[in-house]
Amino acid sequence: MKEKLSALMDGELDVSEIDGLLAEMKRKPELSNAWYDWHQASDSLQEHPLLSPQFMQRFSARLAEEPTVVAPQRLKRSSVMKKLLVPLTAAASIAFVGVAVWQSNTVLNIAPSMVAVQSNHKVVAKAPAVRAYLAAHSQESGNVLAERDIVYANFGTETVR
Amino acid sequence: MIQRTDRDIDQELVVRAQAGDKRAFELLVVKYQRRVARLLSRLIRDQNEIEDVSQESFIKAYRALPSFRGESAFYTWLYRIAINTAKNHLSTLGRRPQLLADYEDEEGESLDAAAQIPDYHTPETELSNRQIVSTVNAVVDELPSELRTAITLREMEGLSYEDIAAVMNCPIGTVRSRIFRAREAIADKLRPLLDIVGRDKRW
Amino acid sequence: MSDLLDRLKPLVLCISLFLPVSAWAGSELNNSDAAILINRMVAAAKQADFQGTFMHQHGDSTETFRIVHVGSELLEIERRESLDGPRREYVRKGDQISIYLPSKRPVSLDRRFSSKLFPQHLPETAEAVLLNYKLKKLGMERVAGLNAQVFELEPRDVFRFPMRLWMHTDSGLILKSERLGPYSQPVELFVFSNLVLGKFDRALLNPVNPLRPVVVESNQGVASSPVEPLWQIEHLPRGFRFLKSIQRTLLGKEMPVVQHLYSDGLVTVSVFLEPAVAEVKEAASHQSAMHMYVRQIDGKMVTVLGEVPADAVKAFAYAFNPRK
Repeated sequence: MKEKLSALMDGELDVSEIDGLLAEMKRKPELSNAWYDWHQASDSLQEHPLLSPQFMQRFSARLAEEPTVVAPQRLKRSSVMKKLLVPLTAAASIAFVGVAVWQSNTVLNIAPSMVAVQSNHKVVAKAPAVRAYLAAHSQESGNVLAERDIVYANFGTETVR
Repeated sequence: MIQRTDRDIDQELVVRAQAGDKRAFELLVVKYQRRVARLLSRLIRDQNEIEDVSQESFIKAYRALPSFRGESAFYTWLYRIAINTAKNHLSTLGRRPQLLADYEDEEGESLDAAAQIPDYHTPETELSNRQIVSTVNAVVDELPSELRTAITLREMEGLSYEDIAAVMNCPIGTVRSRIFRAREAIADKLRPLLDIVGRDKRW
Repeated sequence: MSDLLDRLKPLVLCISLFLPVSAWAGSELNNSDAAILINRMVAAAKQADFQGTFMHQHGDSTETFRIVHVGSELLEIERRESLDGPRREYVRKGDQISIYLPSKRPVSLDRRFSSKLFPQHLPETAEAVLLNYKLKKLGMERVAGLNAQVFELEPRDVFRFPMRLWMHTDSGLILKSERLGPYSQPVELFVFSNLVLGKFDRALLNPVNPLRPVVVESNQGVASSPVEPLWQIEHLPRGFRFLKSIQRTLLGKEMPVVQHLYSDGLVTVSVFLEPAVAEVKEAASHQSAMHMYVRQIDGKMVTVLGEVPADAVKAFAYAFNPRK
């Protein structure tokens, strides 16, 4: 159960399991405490400020006094930032690791040693990482404050030619 | 940084909060409490005030839930409410802002001089923050390497389980378990430090 | 009857000016009017004093930043600070830049990019942009409580994506910018959530973190076209200018990779050249607006990456051929 909570925190829990987990959280304080503690640790890693220990208790009390909102509605899936996983030729995804984000819809004829096929047609290959190229590309965009893909920013020497 | 996976989980919790589940909303508050406080700390100096205004922002967000339709990320919407709450708070403190017609926002509220307050950088809060930060970092460094890699890729680099599995060359289930175990290990070491209210109670 | 229509006209005009941007077809401006507007936006970002908070959405992430900028005095100074996520800070005084970043990795910055952060998006010369994009006026909207004219930089060819700009009517400052992708969806967004123009407390310019200086590469003496002994480069897609090339080692690779950078004034494209290590099928792919093309030829591999359409990355990939 706690491990499921950890997956929920990362947005990696199967949607069908969420209701069950939330119900469990109401019965077991250790789950709620874990949610609290893990976010505290995560926030500390990101250097967010501390709050007084009673912050959530005070807030829960205030929230309890609020009239319960009941306004169920279908949330629009935002059209901004939607992932488009349409390869123009499927083979592109075969060539690179990190390919889950550049998804292939069909599995092609590739020598078995090169490719590890997983379920639901996502293909992961043991080959150079797309992320390395993305990191190198975005590093040259000039926006030092938006640097991401830092895990692949292990660049060796860089010389301007 | 807010990741794609944040949007997914936030949507799930917001939907349930909108359906009447207050606890789901509280989970979101636990998640964003410090981020909102940090945002407000650039506009408000006093720590107590920051916490009060943060709480007020969350309450306002709760009341406004029926109008949230998921067009933007929850955090973006929450952030706007927090900024507005801070603005109103500062203007009720009696500051006479320079009112110029141009500076009214969509609700007709006037943009006051909130953003013109000099940035205060209180050494005391900075110090206690740094202590916690260095403790967490130390605990992470002491983890067995596969746990450390998994939690770092997840928390610092924001990679999905799938991407982490590719980097670490292991199944996704293993990633999930390693991240969970790392979290538990860190929380165990961190708890005594944080003076958390009695463990039998929630939060 | 015509009297009635005459009286209604201004009302209709007024209402239609505030229609949502998507409802507008837009009217194209001629080059000289367009240049005036673009230059106005460039000048405003450099010369205005302002401070505010803005949001940057790109791909999966959303970040907020605080910015303060002084341009009315002899020295242009700006300070930016992350308000969430890892702590980051950036201070520029004229051409001197210092930063605070979580990683201790040394950072260098190409001079051409050093003052091109939002809202200073646009290149110095309007001509550079207008060669590749036309400027269309779409309508009016309010951003951060301010009136803005909405423009679209519409590509003149298939090699780039459109960009939308919201220009503050009073000051000319860009309040919001949106880069669009293949389905006209926004893929990168910068938008002020609040903005105050005019003089402010100078204390806001002081950094809150310990900064370290950034090496700004002047790139003087860098060739205007690549010196590339191993590859013949011909028929590049129009409108892209060579910026520079770098040799770098990427994680997971043994051999160094050469990266060529090209720009059309708004967007950059990277071309990676290296020896091929494994059999790779020629392929195109994309995620949102980021397109990738991989081509293997004569034991060498070309990988092209950029937020440009599929046609563009493919054209780049075919422009590079190993010399015999």
